[in-house]
Amino acid sequence: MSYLKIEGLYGSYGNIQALKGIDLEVNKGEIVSIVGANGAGKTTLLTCISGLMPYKGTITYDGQQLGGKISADKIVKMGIVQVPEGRQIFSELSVIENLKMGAYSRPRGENPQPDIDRIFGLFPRLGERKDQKGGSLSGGEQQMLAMGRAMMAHPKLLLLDEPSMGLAPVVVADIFKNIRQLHDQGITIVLIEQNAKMALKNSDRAYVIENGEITLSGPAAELAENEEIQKAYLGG
Amino acid sequence: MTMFVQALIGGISQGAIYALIALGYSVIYSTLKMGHFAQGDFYMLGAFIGLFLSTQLGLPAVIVFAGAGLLTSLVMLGLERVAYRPMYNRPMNALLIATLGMQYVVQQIAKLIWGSDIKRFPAMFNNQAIHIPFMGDSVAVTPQNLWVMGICGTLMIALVLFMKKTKTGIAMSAVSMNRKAASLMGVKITTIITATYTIAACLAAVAGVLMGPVYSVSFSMGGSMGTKAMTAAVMGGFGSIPGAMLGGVLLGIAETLCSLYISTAYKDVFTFIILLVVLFWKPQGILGQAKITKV
Repeated sequence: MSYLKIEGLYGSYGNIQALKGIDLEVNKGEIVSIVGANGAGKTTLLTCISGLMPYKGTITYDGQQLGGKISADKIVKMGIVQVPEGRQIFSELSVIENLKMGAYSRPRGENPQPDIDRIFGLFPRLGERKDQKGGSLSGGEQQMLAMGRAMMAHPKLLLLDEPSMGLAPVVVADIFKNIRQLHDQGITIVLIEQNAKMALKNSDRAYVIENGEITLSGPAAELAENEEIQKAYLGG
Repeated sequence: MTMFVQALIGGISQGAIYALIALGYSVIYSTLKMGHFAQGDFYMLGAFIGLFLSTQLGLPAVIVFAGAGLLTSLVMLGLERVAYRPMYNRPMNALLIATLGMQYVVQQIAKLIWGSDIKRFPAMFNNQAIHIPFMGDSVAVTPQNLWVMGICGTLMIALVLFMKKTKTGIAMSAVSMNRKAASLMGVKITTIITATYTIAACLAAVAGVLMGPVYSVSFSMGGSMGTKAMTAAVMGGFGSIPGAMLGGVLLGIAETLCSLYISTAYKDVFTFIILLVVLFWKPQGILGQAKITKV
């Protein structure tokens, strides 16, 4: 049985229908990427999974149906944590304080220090800058901080929205290395990317989303060979 | 010189009250990004509830303050639930109008319960002034002044500690910086809304109980106090907690000094001249920070 199962998902902003019946499955331990152009509905899909906007259709996670009474804060407690587009770090808080905020959903009284040390082990650059304000970090460091902050919540399913956005190619390579490290710790990952090349290279399976609908899906390696995809997303 | 020091003490004490109410504006603005125009009327409601607890039930001062804070918060949370919450996902103007309308709702509730006449609030503290020798003369300080400064100071320190040290306080700062990210960290926005309004209502209610014996109590007393406090909040930097404190105290001092050296009649004019000067000099307020957004 799949870990995350989305069936017939419709979501809209006022009169604009952003998702038109999405069906999608993620198995435990996979990295699944969702590629598509700007405005195709990728971010909306993650927003629905995180419980931050109303939708029609069903989202089932680990055998339990989301939506209804299950609000965004409960979804985080259940282990679905999102790293949002544009990092969205708390710019006035220090790196450490940002990480502590990530542990907000953890039980009261739990000492966050072992988790913080673990994250500094994973992202040594954050450790070097632990007392700096989040807003003063570079784009790549902010992305690391956003991922580290999400890790503080002990995610089982990590939703990454455009982690490579606005980063230099060298830094993008680093970030994808980090994503693989997180995956190696047993976290299931859903990855949204405009950088289809990097996404397909680093994931098990992929979906292509266009105008709110899934148009193609399959093993990432196969999709990378697909002519249409090469033409549309991989620059020929 | 003695007169100056005397006025200064009165000004700080008056300013501390402005600061308490201004803090309510600032806390609500910084966490929820909305101007809460009815803040002054919750000051009025707090004064009435305090008067009721103190004269009708004859409760001791500590319980009067705590009770006024608690009951005012409950009213504020109830009204928030019916009047503000349906507006959060609408255009900002809807919420703004709701808070403007809330002024009249709260005033009419008070009028229905307590009537429209001005009520005297018996002094809660000993009125005997304490004379402190000062440069061969003496400065009179009333216990009322001391209590006002003491209670306001304690509440301000408590608020700062709450915002810096507690999980909910830090989450409130996080929500003020980035609401979406905070939700994604598992912060329940309704908890934050409840905490924010409770803080604002308690501060306003305590200010009301403190000032009741000075100004007497009537259903329309909140309007001018609300305007003054908002002026203080804007002057200090809207949304900034230290800014609201500084703005309140500066405004109180400016007012009493103007009454002393210029004229009591012009003190409100003077207040707004100071506001204009401050805003020309620093458009974000004295401690307000220009918002720099990194894209």
